[in-house]
Amino acid sequence: MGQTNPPFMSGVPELLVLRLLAREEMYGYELVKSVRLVTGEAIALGEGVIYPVLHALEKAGALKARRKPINGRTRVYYTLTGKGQKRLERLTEEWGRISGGIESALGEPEHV
Amino acid sequence: MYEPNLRSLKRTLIRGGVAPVFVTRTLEELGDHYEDLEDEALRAGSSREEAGTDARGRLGQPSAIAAEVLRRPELKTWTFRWPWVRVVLHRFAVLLALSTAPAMAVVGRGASITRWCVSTGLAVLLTGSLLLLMQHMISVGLPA
Repeated sequence: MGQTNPPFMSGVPELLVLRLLAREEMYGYELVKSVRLVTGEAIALGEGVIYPVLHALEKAGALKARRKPINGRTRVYYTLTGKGQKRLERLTEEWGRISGGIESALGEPEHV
Repeated sequence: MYEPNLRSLKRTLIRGGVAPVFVTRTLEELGDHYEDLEDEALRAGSSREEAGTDARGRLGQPSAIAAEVLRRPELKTWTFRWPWVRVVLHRFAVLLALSTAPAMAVVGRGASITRWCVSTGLAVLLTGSLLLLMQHMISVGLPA
């Protein structure tokens, strides 16, 4: 099992959740599997911590939850709202700026 | 089984002031997630015991999940988010109870209070009359 990421990555699960739910509605287990898949397992969430992220986003109005019976079990599916879409755009922009800054710092030749 | 972990998580969340709706949702969804992970491991050829161990490991320690929930104030009840409101309301309720307690004691006991007023009034009247009679007898003197 891969090691989970340290606390400084705390904004990343939110960004990934919003990005994945912008494509299609999913439930928690599916989401965690998708995160592993789309990040090439570079980002491994402690799977149980996905729910506080989802609930907080739902409370903020960024996600909408609905119960759906699948194979005799009731799943809670999450979908992105208009507010969530705006939040995703803002976070994507912020993350682009941060990763651009880090890339530029790493690409800088070392001073002697 | 993931039940013992869910029970300890429930206690921690409730004590931490998490809103009941989110406590229930967290436990339900974690329970489902555990079953999915267990099924996945069983499909991959693990024994029931191995599947359970693997599922618990992947889901994470209840303390870690609880910490993640508890660090989000938006998932807590308003009394935990704004404790000063709770203190103010509590004091207001105490003051209100103290100031209205005598009135509340009277409400609904009209008949008893009327009886008490009438009997006290009659007692005052009788005692006053006896005192007046005694004073008159002292000042006028007892008949021979």
